[in-house]
Amino acid sequence: MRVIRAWASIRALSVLMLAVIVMPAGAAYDETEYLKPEAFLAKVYGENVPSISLMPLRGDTRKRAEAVLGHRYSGMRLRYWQQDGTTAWIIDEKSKDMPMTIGIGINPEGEIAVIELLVYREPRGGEIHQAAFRKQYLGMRLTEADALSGQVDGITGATLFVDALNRVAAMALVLHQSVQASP
Amino acid sequence: MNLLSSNAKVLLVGLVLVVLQGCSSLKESDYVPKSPETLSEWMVEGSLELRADGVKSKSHFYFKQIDENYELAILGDDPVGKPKAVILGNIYEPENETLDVIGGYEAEKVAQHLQSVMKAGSLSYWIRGLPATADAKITQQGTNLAKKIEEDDWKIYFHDYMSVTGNYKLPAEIKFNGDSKNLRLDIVRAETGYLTNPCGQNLTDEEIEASVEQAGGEDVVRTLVPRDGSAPLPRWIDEADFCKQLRKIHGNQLPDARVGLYGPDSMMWRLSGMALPGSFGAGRALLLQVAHPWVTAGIDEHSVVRNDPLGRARRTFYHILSVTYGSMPQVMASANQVRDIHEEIEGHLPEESGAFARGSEYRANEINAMIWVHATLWETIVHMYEKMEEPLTQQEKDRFYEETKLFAMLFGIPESALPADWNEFMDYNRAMWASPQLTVTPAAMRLKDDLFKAQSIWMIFPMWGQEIITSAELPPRIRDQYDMKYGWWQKMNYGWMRAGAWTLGALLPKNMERQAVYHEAMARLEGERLGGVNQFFIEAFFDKERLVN
Repeated sequence: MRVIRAWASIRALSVLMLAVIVMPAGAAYDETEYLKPEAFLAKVYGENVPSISLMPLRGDTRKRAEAVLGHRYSGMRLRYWQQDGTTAWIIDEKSKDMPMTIGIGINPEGEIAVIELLVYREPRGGEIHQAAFRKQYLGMRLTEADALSGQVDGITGATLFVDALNRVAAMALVLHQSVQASP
Repeated sequence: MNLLSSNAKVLLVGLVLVVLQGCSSLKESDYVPKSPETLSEWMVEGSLELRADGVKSKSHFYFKQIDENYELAILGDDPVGKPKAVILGNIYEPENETLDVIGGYEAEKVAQHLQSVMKAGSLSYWIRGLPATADAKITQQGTNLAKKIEEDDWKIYFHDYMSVTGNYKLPAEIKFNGDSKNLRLDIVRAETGYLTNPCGQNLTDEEIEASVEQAGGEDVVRTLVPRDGSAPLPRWIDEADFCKQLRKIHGNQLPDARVGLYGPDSMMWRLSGMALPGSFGAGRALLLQVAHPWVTAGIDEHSVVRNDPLGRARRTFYHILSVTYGSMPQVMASANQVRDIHEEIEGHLPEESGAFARGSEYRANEINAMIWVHATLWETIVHMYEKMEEPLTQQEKDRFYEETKLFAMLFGIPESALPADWNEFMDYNRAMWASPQLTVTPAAMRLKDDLFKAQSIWMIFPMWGQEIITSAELPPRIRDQYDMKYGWWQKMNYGWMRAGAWTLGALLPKNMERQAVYHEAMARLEGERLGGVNQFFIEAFFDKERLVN
């Protein structure tokens, strides 16, 4: 009986020791949440944030959105907010390996009024969060060719991330136009 | 009573160790999930229980959506069986749902009962924790997670969320309450992409078909390891080459997406499922890889491994195990992610390194270099399995090697570029061990030092042991280049470590002989969620709730 007890105890201890040995401390996610969606919407609308609207992404709008993204958009509809001609969009877009979450507010004149990096999920390239960099986008509109109306000065070593932000900014402007054009 | 008491003491000791190790490692770290609105190809499976009109219906089910079209399949009592009834529809035309009955009256009754209380099209959103319309009232819990949705006379409560592939979180337990009706969904697992297409959809069919396979020539080994010691001619792999190989696997060779590339009858699961050979051989495989100057340069210049060697090891094994044990969509997701990571890894060698000239170009997505990385894994696992477990027959090795070719194809390597069989594969390995293509550079030495450096007090012994094991098992020329000793002291320590490992193997419960991801894959095949100690191991080591379930 004593042997059985000892064996059971050693077996249980073995399992626990193995558990402790294989456990590396620390998180596997390289992620920074810079801004909550509610805080982003407050920047766009102040205290009176409208309720969510839903846009099915189909037909011509889908084609234009995918053309500016340069790839197929994964998802069948978009959640957005609109009030008095101002729209707000929260869009995920892959930069390198992981998507970043970007919030864009567009005023009734079709100009980017707010652009925020909400969540960044890469170990490098977070420089695009800097306010001075994002400021370049403010006031930009959509050209006839569905491109951004201005040039954005890139960040050395963060080309992929800047390109992703450019694509999302243009996509949000396309979607804004689609909302404005709908009855 | 005494037995319980002694085990309680052991448990207490364990808990103290866990607390000392850090509570962060007890379960998956929290993260901000991607919005499930961005899913266009996905499926979940689980069970439903509906009570309405005085009738109770129960069944296993799956819900699948490909772009605009969805299907809700009623499976009956078998969680992984064939659909017996299927509700089909389009999310933009929910009024046109149809019911297709394949397997009998009971399934038809369950489907009709469900249709009497809701449109399956609305489930397309609710199952993901999303509102079906803009009229819904939502109570959130954190970014992208609904706690409660009130819509269409239903109050829908989301009690638990599960982490799934692609940084999504989907509800695991959903309760629908309505007037004299309620529905409960228990979701077991989900797929979040790659259901119809094995690779990204940036290329046309014509572009993929136009890709020309870069075969290994008449003498594959000599193409990979030229006799004169020079570097082989680079053979780059672009996205079309990669997709072409993935399509071969996805489209033609494997009928059951749930099983994935291999399955429980494969040599791959038999060999890599055992915990000891893999853990004893990890250092050997990694050091053989970084003895290739391209691999070292790629890691040294592009990876965060210098700051986080354990993190890189964790990500590497995450992908290896996902490809080995995952369902087909999980396999394809991992292959695409690895390709994307590799695509950014390119540069020029900073110094002359054996067969490679200073300034010569390197890229991660190149056939010769990838075959070497691939070879280190499979040669090491067989080498260690034979040492730790049992010898393998020639037939078993040949079968295993054939299986590894599928793995190689997932990285865009065509079968024609690989050695033909196990013996030719071993000729290639031996040729590489003697070739100046493997040259330990100063950067590789730094990587080795980082690899065996203990990151916490708990890692001192495992890292010391891993260094001795690696020293014992490396080919002598490579061991010497790494300045690793294998004298009487190392031999003595390796001797008791192997004896200790065998003893531990005998003491551990039988089901712990196999590593946790193997058990997770087996749970998937049964249509179940993993639980217990194996779930604990996965969250503790990979910091993920699930890898292949």
